[in-house]
This record gives sequence, C-alpha cells and structure tokens, in this order.
Amino acid sequence: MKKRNRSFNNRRPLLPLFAILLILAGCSGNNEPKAGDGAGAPAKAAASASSSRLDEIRAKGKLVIATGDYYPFEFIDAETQELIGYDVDLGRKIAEKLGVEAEWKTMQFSAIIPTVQNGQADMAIAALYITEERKQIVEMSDVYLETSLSLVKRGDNDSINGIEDLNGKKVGVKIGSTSEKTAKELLEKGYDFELLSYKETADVLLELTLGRVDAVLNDYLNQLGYNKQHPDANLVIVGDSLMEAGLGIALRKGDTELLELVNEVIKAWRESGEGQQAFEKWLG
Amino acid sequence: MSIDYSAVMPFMPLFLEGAWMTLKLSVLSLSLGLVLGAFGGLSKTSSLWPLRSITNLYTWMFRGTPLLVQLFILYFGLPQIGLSLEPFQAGVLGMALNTGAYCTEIVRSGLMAVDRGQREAASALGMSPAVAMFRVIGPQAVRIMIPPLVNQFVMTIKNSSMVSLVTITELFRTGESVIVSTFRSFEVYTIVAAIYLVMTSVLMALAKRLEKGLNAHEQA
Repeated sequence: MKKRNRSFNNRRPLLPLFAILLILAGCSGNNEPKAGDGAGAPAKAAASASSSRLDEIRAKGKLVIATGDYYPFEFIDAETQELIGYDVDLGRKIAEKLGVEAEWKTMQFSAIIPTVQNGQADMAIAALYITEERKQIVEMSDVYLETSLSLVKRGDNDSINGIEDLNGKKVGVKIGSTSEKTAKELLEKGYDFELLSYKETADVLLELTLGRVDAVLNDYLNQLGYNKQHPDANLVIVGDSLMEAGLGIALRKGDTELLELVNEVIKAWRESGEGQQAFEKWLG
Repeated sequence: MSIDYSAVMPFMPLFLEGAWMTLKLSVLSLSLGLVLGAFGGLSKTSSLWPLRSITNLYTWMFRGTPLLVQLFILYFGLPQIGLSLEPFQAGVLGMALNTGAYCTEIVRSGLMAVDRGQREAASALGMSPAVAMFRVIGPQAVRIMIPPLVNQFVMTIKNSSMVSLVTITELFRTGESVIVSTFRSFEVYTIVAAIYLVMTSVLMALAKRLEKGLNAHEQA
C-alpha cells in the first residue's frame, strides 16, 4: 500500500497550536506580582491643564509603583507569592488615600529611577535615599524613614574595623546606589581600595559571605534585616556610619500635585505611629 | 550555607508564571521574526535594488549590535524622544527585530540552497515565478530552513532572559526576586536553568518530529 505523503499533513496539527499560543501571547501583557494584566496604554504623565493628576490616576483605577527586590522593604512572600514589606505597606496607604489599587512593578535597581523619569510608573518606593543628585532628575518626597550607610564585614575578618582599614582591600557596592557614590568619593579622597559594583544588594552580600570582597557598603536597615534572616552568614556592621540618610519616594519631575498628597500620607504615617508599627513588624 | 531546595520549592508557582511569560515572549517574537524573515529573505534575493538595500541595512544593524543594546534603546532611550513603550511591547519588538534579522539570513540561504535546476524546470513547465516559488521552490527551501530556524527559536528562548533588564518579569527576573527572599542563589539558578532546559528540549523534540515528518517521503 502506497504511503500517503505525510510531509505536509503532519504540519497541520501544529499550525492551530501555534495560532493558539500566538493569540494567548498577544492577549496578555506583563505579569507583575499581585497585579492584574497591565497591557493597557501607558499613562501619559504629562500634566495637562484640563485634568488634575490625581483624577488621572483615579480614572486609571490604579497607582503604578516601581520598586525593586529589597528585603525587608519589598520582597516576595513564600506562601502567598505576593509582594510584601515596609514599602509595600506604605505604598498601599498612598493608594488608599487616592481610592485606587496599588500596582507594583518590580525591576532591577538601576531601572527604577529611569522608569519614573519616563512616566512609566507614577512613583517609586524602593528604600531610595534622598540625594541631591536624584533631586535634580526626579522629585523626592519628605523622609519617611531615617537610616544610614554602614560598613559591613564578615565576622571572622579582624583586619577591618572602620574605613581607615580599607586600603588594599576589595569593597563591594550596588551599582547606581548611594553606597557606590560614597565609595567613589572615598576613592577621590585618597583611600586606596578596589571597588567592585554589583547589580543587586543580594549579589553584594553573597560576595561578602564568600569572601570575594572584604567589605561592603550597605544600608543600615537592609543589613539589619539580612542579619536577622541569616544569622549564620555572620556579617557585622563595623565602624561609624558613613552617612545619615533618609528614605524617600521618587516622583516624576513636576508632578507636584501627587507629591503633595504623598507628603501628606508620609506625615500621617509618621505622626500616627503607623510608621513605627511597620518598623517593628518588618525591622524589629 | 548548605544546599537546601526546600526553601525555594514554595516559589514554584512563581517560577512557572515566569516560564510562561518567557514562552509567550519567545513565541510572539519568533512568529513576528519569521514574518520579517520571510519578507526579508525574499527581499534580499529580489531584483529590486532598493528592497535589497533596505534589507541589507536591517540585517547589518540588528545582527551587528547586541540584543541588550537594542532592547535598552527601545525601552529606556525612546522615551527621551517622546515614544514610550510598555515593557512587554519593547521586549517583543526588540526580540522580533533581532530574530527577524537572523531569520532573514536563514530564509535567504534556504532559498539559495534549492537547486537552480528547479527554477529552470518550473519555468519550462510554464509556471510564473510566483507559482514556482509557492509550489516548487518554497516547500523545498522550507525543509532546508527548519533546522536553523529551530536553532533560532531555541536561541530566542534563551535570549529572552535579557528582557528581564527592561523590567519584564520573566523566568530569569523571577529567579532574582526569589533570591532576594531566600538568598539561595545556587538552588534558584539551577532550577531556572532546568526550566529553560525543559522548554528548549521539548521544542527540539517537536522539531525532530517535524523534520522526520517532512522527510518521510525520502525514506525507502
């Protein structure tokens, strides 16, 4: 019996499968933790005279917040697979005040400020230090939590007790962060160490535990959170804090209406004791 | 720190969500890329000089620059001149244009690999170039193109990890988020690698079956 030419007939079942995959792929946009499908048109954040910025957000029905992965300010809960943390609680408060849902977009640290700059997010809450450089390109809110920059080392390393001992060592920092900037300033002042920059704080701390860097500049609160979660890593904060800093929320330049509302929420957050409660919950 | 997968296993649903996003991105980008490749391949072998030039410019630029740079220009660069794309749009567009450039070359080589005699025979039989392409040359070229195209699809799936840097939460980025919550780099990255491997292996198995089917008539 002559065999039918199977070549083209075999292809046909794959085509509908392919088409289905295409349609499914086209239908949904980016998936975010805890957010709905965000395939709608990007919100044009240019302030127009006719509609107020707050009304714009209410019309959208959601407040888009850019954030990173940064324990314990924003991280994913093992059980619910949702984003939780100090910043998440604060963000929720702001969204509540506006009467909308908060939609969180997580991304690598270096993308956070550009995303706000471009209007692709309404604001960024990501344990960002308020700095003069950042104020040039984005609006920064009032301080919502004080912190400082610390020097961290492995517990078994006795040779480092402060920044004076850094000469000839390897120091790790996060790219684009205040720790990187501070480290570069130290280099300019004449300190002599090798600076290694990493994409995320988690990477920097891992390098420290492995001994591939001798010391790390990290945020004090983040380090506390890390040490609490990983006592066996034995990382200790040494020396005086390198600088005092305040955490702030970043908004697009010129977004003054929303900035006002954010500052109101922050004021209430600090004065009502809610901020303190959140601190105990996440960092206590 | 010892190896402990149990800390990471609860995040499996999240990994699968990320893998699904990777798959969506790859399928969509490759489909668009194939369309671009088909047009491009035909354009490169056409007699119209402007068509050839534009296509040459396209393949030159998109094969000659890193995918990462292309993605960054689309997502971070364009807003400065007023065009703001959603992450997913930028990701698919970047990957599609990139894959399209490579597919153009694959299509072109496939077409050129079909024996000249076929064209001559088709024309001797009175077929117009269009009919000849559709009935005679095209099908033969497609069979030649399948292995490199499958290769391209596998590469697309792997390259999709780069869109994590334009804020798309696909498989690799999901891995990074889980590491922040668990600090278990080895466990997370090996799971991520395993999932990529499963995706590409299934794909390659399907492709083998496709190839076998297409070549069935050549077996005794």
